[in-house]
Amino acid sequence: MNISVQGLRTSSSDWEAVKNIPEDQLPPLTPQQREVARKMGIPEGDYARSALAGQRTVEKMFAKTERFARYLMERFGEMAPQASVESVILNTWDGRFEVSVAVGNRSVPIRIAEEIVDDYLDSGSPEMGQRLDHVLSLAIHTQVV
Amino acid sequence: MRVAQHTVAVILSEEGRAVLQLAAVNVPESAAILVHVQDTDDLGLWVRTPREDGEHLLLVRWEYVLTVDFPIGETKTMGLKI
Repeated sequence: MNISVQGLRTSSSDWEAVKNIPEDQLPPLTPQQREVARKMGIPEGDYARSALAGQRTVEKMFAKTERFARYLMERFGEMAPQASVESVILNTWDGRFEVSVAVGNRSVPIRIAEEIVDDYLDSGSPEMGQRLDHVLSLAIHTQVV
Repeated sequence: MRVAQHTVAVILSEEGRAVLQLAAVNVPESAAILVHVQDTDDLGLWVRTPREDGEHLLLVRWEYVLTVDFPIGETKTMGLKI
């Protein structure tokens, strides 16, 4: 199974965490990034902090996507054993997970709001889990039956 | 398009730059100002602004925003064995 994160985002906490890092401890900019910073008149240190914060946030989004992928595998194992998860993409532009599930010879696309997943992963509440299960079940049964 | 939770370079109108100066924000001479957008709404961008007593949220009204620029980022993929 493949998991992907499309796009870039910077959480406020990651932005907060990098803003006081001394310039000599920041990862160096690529020549291309340095050129963009120069053209836009943005100090290189600020540009590097922004890139670092974005990188940290992407790592967290990857971890979230992996966690959700593992959850999906587990849930489909119980709800629809004939289905197997092919890929899970977190599309940061739309704030959605795009899941591709193989059912027999068909590939079923499922889109799930990131907010619903966050609510469940953050709270772990059974109500949120039921809501998520409902979305998955609806997607599989309306597209396969 | 969601701009919230992005660090963006924003270019403001002269009026917008003047408003930021009125609000005692350090406005660089360059056209682009790098800001972290906490959230957006119908009024504009809510950006984090460092102050002497900590971070504040400042509203930059849409009418002052000429353009917003930020990198799209690459799609990163990895295989997962379960």
